[in-house]
Amino acid sequence: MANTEETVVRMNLLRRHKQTAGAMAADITSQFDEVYRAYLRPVYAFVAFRVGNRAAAEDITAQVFEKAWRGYPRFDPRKAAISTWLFTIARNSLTDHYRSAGRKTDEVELPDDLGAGAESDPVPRLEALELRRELNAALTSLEPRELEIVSLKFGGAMTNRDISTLLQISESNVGTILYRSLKKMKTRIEGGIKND
Amino acid sequence: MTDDREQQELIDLIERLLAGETVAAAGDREEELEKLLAIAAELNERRPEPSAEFEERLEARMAGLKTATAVTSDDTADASPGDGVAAPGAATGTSIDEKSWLRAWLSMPRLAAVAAALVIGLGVVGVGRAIIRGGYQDKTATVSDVASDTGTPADDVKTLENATGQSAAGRSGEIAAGDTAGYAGSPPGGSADSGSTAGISGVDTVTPLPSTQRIIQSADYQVEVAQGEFNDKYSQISAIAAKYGGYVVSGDTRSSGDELKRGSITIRVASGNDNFTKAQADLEGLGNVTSKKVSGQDVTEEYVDLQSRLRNAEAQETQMLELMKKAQTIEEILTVQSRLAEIQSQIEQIKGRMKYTESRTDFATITVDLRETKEGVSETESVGTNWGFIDSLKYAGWLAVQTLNFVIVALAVIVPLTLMGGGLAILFYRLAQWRRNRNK
Repeated sequence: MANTEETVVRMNLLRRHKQTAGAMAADITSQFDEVYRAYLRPVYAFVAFRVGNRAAAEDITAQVFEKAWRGYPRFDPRKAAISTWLFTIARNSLTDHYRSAGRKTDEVELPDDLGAGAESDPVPRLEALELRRELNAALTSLEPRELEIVSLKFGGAMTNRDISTLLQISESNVGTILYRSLKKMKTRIEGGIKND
Repeated sequence: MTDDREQQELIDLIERLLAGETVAAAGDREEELEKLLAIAAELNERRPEPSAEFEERLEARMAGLKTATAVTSDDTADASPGDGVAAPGAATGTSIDEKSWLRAWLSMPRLAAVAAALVIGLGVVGVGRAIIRGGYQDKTATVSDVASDTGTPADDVKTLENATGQSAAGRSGEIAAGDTAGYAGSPPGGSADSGSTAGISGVDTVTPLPSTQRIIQSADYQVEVAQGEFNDKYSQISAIAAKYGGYVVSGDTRSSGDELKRGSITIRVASGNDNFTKAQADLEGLGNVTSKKVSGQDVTEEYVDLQSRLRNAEAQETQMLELMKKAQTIEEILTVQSRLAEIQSQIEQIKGRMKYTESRTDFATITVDLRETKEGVSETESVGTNWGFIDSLKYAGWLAVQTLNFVIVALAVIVPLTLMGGGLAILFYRLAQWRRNRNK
């Protein structure tokens, strides 16, 4: 799982921020490279969960990192965590995407193609094959806020605390919504199986 | 198991799952929880991964960006074009909450509502103003038109400032008086309202302008020339602009029904070296000056204020650059950088305003309203041939119609208000009556 590596990189990054002495702009570039490496996958996954098609997800991810690069010299690590900052940019980019596409901000698109990972690992983790097929449909049955939290959790691999800071809701509320969303997806999937 | 406990357990399991642990298939869990966990595991497993091709592409793009913005990353004041978009809610890395809140608020239909309210508000104000002033303004505008067109009975209506008895020396003195009067160019022999004491006293106390003095000077002329001379005079005015180191700002010409040409031209002349005064003298030689208005606005204080603010900001910039050299940690560098960027943009702003003030004070603006009159029918001579009785009658008739028009417009305001007020009054009266009857 990539998550543990990411955690290590994040820790190093934080330490680096506090230790590096006398570094100038050139150092900002190498720092940003680390940020980029650590967050490319989570950001991409989060965006892909939300927009559900690869071309758009790639576009938006590229935008996020471009904006992040431009804004990075003014980013103050004391005032916000890197993840919160990056995902704020990602959320804003998504908003822009929906707006420019002329759609309502939080409308859910059918995640028809969630990315390379979906195809490259054909081994079914669940016994019920229907469940796998129904998963996408189940995702679309979520409310916008629920989908956002599920995407941040499973795509962005964020802790509940980070999600709560990002979305301005309490940590326990994040847990509740997550729980509710999974239950909703389960109901949807079971309903789907019965209908088959 | 209660929902709360189930929820807590699920959240814990998800955390372990995301940390890379295998948490599936433990016999002691309830079926419901197991199913939820299976979905979570599936979501985690199906986490979309960027394709290698995309990663390569993005890497190349980022590398391109870094070399392109290498300079601007040092100098944050120098905003790259995309910066406005670059960091909604994240540009400064601060106050994410505030900005995303603002964004959400703006993205709502509220923006449309605010815009609509503004439009309606402006519309109401506009209509109100049109109603209140419309009739009156129309009237005065046309009054002076009629007066100057017929050229006879109502000469006193327009403020005719006769500039003939005025010397060049007198004018230069008036400009010096600008710092006390604000209205620099009142002709001493002019009409009552512009011939203020400040203008006259300026003649006596001619003081040389201090080099730092900054005055925005302008003059408005109305000049009459003989029929057929218009084009010639018009180009002479352009020549005057060039002669005194200036240029023509704008100009327009039109001819009225009886082939009399009319037009206005705005020129600017360099304000040093008494050019403004000399240019005025030249202009007065063009024809019969029927109206003249000279004004000056002293902006020295503003300018000096800008100068001291610039010095202050520049000192701060030097300090920040010193601090930058001493900065030890990234945090320090970032803090100093953002402060530096702020100061530098302040400096740019101040410099911009200084430039603007300089450009307005380095050149004086002169507008000349040039019109042809029929040869031999200049205003003084026309008295003999035109007694003005018919014109007076016409004017009186015109005034009567205008008064009627104004009354009609006023009625449009008064009638609905009266109806509304009356309706309300009746309503209240009925209400009071009904209460009284009930109390009986």
